[in-house]
Amino acid sequence: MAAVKFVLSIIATVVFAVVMKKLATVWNVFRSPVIAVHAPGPCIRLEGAEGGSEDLTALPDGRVFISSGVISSEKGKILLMDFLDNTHKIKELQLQSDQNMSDAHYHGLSVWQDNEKGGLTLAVIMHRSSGEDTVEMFKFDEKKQILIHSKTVRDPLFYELNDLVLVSENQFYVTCSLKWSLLELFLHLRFGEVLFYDGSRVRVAAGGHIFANGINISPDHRHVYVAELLEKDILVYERQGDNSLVLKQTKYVDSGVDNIEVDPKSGDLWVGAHPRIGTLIYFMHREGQGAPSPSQVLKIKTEKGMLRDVIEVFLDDGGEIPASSVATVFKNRMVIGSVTSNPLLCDIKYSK
Amino acid sequence: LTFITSGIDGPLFSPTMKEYHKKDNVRGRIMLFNLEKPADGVRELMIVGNQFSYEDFAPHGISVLEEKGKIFLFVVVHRAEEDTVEKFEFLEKTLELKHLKTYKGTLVHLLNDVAATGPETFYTTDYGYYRNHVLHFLEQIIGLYYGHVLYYDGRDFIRVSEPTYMANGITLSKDGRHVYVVSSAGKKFIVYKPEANNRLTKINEVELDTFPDNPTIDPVTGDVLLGCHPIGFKITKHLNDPSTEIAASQVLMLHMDKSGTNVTGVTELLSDDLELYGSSSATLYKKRMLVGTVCHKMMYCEVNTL
Repeated sequence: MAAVKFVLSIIATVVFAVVMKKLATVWNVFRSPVIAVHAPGPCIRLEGAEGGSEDLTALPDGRVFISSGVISSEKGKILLMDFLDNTHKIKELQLQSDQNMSDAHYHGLSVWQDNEKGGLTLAVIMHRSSGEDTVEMFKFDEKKQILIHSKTVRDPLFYELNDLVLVSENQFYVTCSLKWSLLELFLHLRFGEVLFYDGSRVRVAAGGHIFANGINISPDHRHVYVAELLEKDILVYERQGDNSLVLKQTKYVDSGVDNIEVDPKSGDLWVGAHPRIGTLIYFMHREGQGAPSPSQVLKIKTEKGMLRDVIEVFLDDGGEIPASSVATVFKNRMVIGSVTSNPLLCDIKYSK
Repeated sequence: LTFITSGIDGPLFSPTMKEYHKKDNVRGRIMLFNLEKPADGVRELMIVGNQFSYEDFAPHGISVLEEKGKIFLFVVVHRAEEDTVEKFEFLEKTLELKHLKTYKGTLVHLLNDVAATGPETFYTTDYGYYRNHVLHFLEQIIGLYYGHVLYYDGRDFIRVSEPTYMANGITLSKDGRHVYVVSSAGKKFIVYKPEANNRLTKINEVELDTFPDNPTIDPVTGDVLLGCHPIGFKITKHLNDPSTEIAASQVLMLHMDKSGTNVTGVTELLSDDLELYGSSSATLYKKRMLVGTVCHKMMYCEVNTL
């Protein structure tokens, strides 16, 4: 009898410890730190992407492709901006496709430039109104400045896709933020996955994530970086010969990290982040209306592909730009994309 | 003109601090820096006056008062036996400080900072009860509210606030109508309103995610500049052993509204842990900022993006 009581009390203590740990983790996720704003130089708000600029990526020549319209009340668009254009105009790119793309909501995007043949491939995640998530591949027609649809990639493994990164003209890694339902997040279960499409088939490259969202690759293509929004960390994977991924480093950055851009020369990571995750969730629920969610841009220095120093380049209470999700830099100027509205263009004058 | 207190010490600090001071020959001093002529550097002001003792002079908080063309300095001093507030007159021609008066009181336990309101009156923060550094540390950790804001009304010290927790930095608002107090371990910025009898009523309390130290007022906007310690355990270790432990630095600017009672926004002017250790105070003058530390160096910056 006493033995049973003893065992029960041990079990009760363990259960209590586990519950407390989970509660502490949840508390950490929804912590609301004081936002002490700072910018690395003067900033101006751009126009032309009122529906949002959730993901963007820059070409070496200064042109930036932007995906717009993640929130359901906005129409999905792919936009183009040029750092070298002093008028900072953002124009919508026309899509040529035999499918109906009008009900689309675009999310993460990635661009691949073929240095030999000179073609430009753009892949973007599309959330269809039917509830299905697909990856749409386009070829960019430089002369006509339109995107010509080339392929739709579908797979039963595609669920709640967030971001992707092209590793060649027709191969990519893509993140699934959930496996089955939002319930996973409440129970803090690690079911998110990174999938690899090799041109014909999709398979799992890495698993066990809590809300994997942003994904990108080092300039030498040896390391893949995955942002886990709710864990507030960035994972560094080493790419294997068969395209599978092996976890090498978990870097906790204490902020709701979203999309990752990689500097092609230095290999530094530029990360758009949400300092207050609770505020972000509520802001998204209200479709970008009302009190804005604060914004943050982190620069993470790398050494041999591994993450080292984290530098906070920009922090805002949402007044200059709400809900920053991505940032990229071109010649000392930075453009910050927002989930719900127009991007911000800043001069980087004072930063490490 | 900026007045700086240097060489902090006292029974409050651990014995390793005394060793650290001995190595570089550090004494308690008051220095001067001119933000209009930064190239002149920092100069020591010699203190004259026969009632003044340099021996156990360990200055801490400071306040400046301009009255009838004269400049007075009120300084919190940790003497061996007790803490005092000492008043000096700044003699610009000879760059000397003439010691005028020493204020003592029975209610005085452990003073930190002072805010002058008149030639014979000032507010000061009595920020703890225990003068011994081990007991002071415990007082901080347990969270005992053993401090008070005191007011010297010309004759004696009186308690003018409710019991406080580690209230250290104190200053008057730009229009002189409010008293700003900072609770470092409490991570708060508190706004008080002085009543007719000099008692203070708390009207606002702002939580900051950092350990603030001393506030100064931007004379143009009325905003509050705070020297802060962003990482608590590091500053504690640093103060215990300054030669080997390093601490992070941060300067925040709290934007105040017209009434001087509400904080409308916070801007971070400096965040650093590699060059400057333990920033405790900062002052801003025409886009130039001087940042002081507890026992490290000072930093002079240009503020271009605000």
